[in-house]
Amino acid sequence: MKIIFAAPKFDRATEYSYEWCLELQQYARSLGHELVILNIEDAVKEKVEAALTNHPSACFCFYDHGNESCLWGNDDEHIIDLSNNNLFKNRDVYTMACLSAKKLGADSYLRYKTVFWGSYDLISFTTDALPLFKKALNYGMTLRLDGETDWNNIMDKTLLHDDEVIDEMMGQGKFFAAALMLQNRNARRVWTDKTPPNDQPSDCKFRRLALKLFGQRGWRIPNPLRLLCVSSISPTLQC
Amino acid sequence: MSDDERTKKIGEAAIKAAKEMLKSLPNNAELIEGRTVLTGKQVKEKFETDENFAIKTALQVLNLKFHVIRRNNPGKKEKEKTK
Repeated sequence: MKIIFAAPKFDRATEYSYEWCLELQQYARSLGHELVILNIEDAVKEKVEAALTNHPSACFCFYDHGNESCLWGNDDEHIIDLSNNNLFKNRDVYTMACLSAKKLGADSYLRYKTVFWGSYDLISFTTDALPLFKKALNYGMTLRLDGETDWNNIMDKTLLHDDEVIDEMMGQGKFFAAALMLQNRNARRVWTDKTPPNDQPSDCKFRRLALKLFGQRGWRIPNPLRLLCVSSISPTLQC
Repeated sequence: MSDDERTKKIGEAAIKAAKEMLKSLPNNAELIEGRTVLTGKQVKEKFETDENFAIKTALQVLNLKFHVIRRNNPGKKEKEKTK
């Protein structure tokens, strides 16, 4: 399998997430997967876009910051948002970026058939239980690297694993960490044909008409006015 | 007991449980939530001064408690559905 890893490192959170992503990279390399590595200063928009363009079928794994509609690069600029997420077309995306499963993940799935693994809320962790948080947040990608191809199976196994991690934290008396781990668990989403996002309204008249006429397939009909909508009206508009 | 008294007592119980949970976070550990970083000590101080943070923490305790109960009684939810 070919995987593009992108891991910025520019603040306290990314100091940790970068290390966790490095561990995934080493594991992937040990299993013989083909890797494209964009770490720290290479985790910027132009290099990510070039890698996605040059490797159209590669899985994309991104650690760490994001919001509802974008992923942040090492220069604190968007590397992917609703204006260039067409680069996610027909590929698997795995990220621990906060809130990324919301508009970015849903839009990528609905419009570009992206299998999107992300979070519907902020990701939180505490440094008194770092190895356990790392284990939990890396687990889904680890299963994929091991050869599990069904993302819904991966999600089921990851949720069970999360429960074990929560038990372990509580067993160590780390109840606050366990509460945060549960929050991360409950916020985790994977958008696939079996588990599509189903609460994505659109503000766009064109899109609403397409959805009315063609059902969910209406998301994949190109909107000739979309660029105009995204750039000049609202970057979070589902048009 | 009046509604106000009842609400106050429930609130006090939730705050007490949340405080107990926060004791498990060492003062020198860090909480990282998105881009926000707080030390354990700052988390405990915030709990005392920021109502929204206190409410959020109390809800986290309840969620954890419910999660544990649900896991220990896996059949119950299904039984309720079939009623």
